[in-house]
Amino acid sequence: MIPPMIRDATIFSCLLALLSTGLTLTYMTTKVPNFAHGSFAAMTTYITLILVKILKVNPYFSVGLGFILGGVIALILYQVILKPLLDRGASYIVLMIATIGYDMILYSLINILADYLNRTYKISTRLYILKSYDFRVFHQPCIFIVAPVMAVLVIVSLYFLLTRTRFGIAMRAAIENPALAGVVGINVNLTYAASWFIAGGLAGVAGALLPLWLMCNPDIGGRLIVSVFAASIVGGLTNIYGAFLGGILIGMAEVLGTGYLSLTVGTWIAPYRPIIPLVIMAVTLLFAPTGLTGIGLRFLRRSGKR
Amino acid sequence: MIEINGLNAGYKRLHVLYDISLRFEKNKINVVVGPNGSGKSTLLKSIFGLTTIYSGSIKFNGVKLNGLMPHQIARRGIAYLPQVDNVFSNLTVAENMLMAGYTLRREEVEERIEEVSETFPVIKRYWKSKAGFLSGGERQMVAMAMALLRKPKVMMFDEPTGSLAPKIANEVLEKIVELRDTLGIMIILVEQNAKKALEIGDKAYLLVGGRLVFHGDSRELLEHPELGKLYLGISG
Ligand SMILES: Nc1ncnc2c1ncn2[C@@H]1O[C@H](COP(=O)(O)OP(=O)(O)OP(=O)(O)O)[C@@H](O)[C@H]1O
Ligand SMILES: [Mg+2]
Repeated sequence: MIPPMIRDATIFSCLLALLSTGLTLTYMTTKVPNFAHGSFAAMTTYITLILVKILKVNPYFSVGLGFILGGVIALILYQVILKPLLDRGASYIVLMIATIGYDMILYSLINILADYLNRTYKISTRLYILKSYDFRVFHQPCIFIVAPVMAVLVIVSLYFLLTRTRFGIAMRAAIENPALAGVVGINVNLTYAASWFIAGGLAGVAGALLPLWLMCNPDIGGRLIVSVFAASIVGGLTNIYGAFLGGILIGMAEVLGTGYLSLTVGTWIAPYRPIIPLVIMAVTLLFAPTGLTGIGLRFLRRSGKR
Repeated sequence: MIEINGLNAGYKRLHVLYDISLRFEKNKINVVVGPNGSGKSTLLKSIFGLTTIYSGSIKFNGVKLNGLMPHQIARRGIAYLPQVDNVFSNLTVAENMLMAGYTLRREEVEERIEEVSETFPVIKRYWKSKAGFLSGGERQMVAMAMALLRKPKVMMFDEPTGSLAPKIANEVLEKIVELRDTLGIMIILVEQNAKKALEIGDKAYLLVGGRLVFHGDSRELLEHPELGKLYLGISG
């Protein structure tokens, strides 16, 4: 028998890893922390709701749709807002605030959508969960299989894209040195737009899977973003594989940590769950600002391998 | 032919080049010289759309280049070896070469890599290493090979001999002469070693403080009674 807490932790950490990998990818291209990243996922939770409650079809269709919708929302942020600001030489702070503004717009749109669905179709669109619509596979909820499979699939595909395809290598080249990338004939803007699309797409996939296990609400993006940033920072912010590991680590720490504390200290502690990623984030920034990957490098160097 | 008219350019609010008007000619080695910080690199970067252009125009065979994105300029057959950051350090040498041929077909890239590897054996020697781990000179040779990979119509070199040993530096300059003679391409060469460069060059352009103070035959600048001594350390 698999303990429920392990199941919770696995599902949450895999979805978080999808989110933090994408956040890091956009951070690497545009060098701006994207505060709207959580809302990309919040938006696509409603795709799953619509598929299940209104169209009454298989909830997993939302994975593909979520990827596309998430990708498009992210692409709009990059192409319509950030790119023009970057071209005008906007500072880091301006860009960051622009993402917060975009987050507010998305949050409003999500609320409008939630109200519209609620009034038109008489379904509950706030604090909803679709656990009961999931299938069972080997006496386990399907999401318990799908979330890890999806996470592994995504990170392996990203690895192949970035190291085995010409366009993927061009994405890395454009991230490292955009001027030189332009000089050799790479369309830097296209590679950045692709990074944003993929990042938004991954957030969209995570969002599409969320309601099958967790309670969703229009503000879920804001609640997730702390964990996502913590995961990316633990991962070092400049390495998608680090971000992926960071997502797994933070997800595990959050669920298992809260579970353990509820058992020992009392259940009143559960609402303080966001403190766990915040503390890990603070500790990382204080003692290992380059994150996991930095520690890894230092360790390798010390042991003389490099 | 590249024709620059009344060019004022710089970096955001930092004005570097003032009213530059000149012509770089085909089948010629055009040598750009001048003291440190006089704007030589900025001139090359401006041709590639990597600076802020306040006014003026840059035309290549009559077509305006300013306003185009760098990758569009690259696709018009202009190649450029930057002075610094001229390889992708996080990419392997193999990946760097693949990127250098980004605008070519895959088979063509492989063919061209074989060809340039003959001139620059470092490429094959460090094929799988990260370019960032190479020595300064090795990196410079990889960068040079990258610039040559595409068989461009115009080749701009920004201090190609910068971190090379004298013997190799001479070979590189010989290679540049050979490029002009065999491929008949336009070469724009920025060099710290003004004397050597002017000796192999056809046309010369002297930049001082962001202004063009001389242009003409390179022999003329080499033999000029004052300019050479004043700005380039060429005596007698
Ligand atoms: N990326 C940049 N951003 C801001 N200012 C720059 C930049 N690159 C160069 N400058 C400034 O522009 C001026 C001209 O620099 P440039 O690199 O064109 O000189 P140069 O003639 O190539 O000198 P050198 O012989 O040392 O290479 C310098 O004052 C320099 O400080
Ligand atoms: Mg220079």
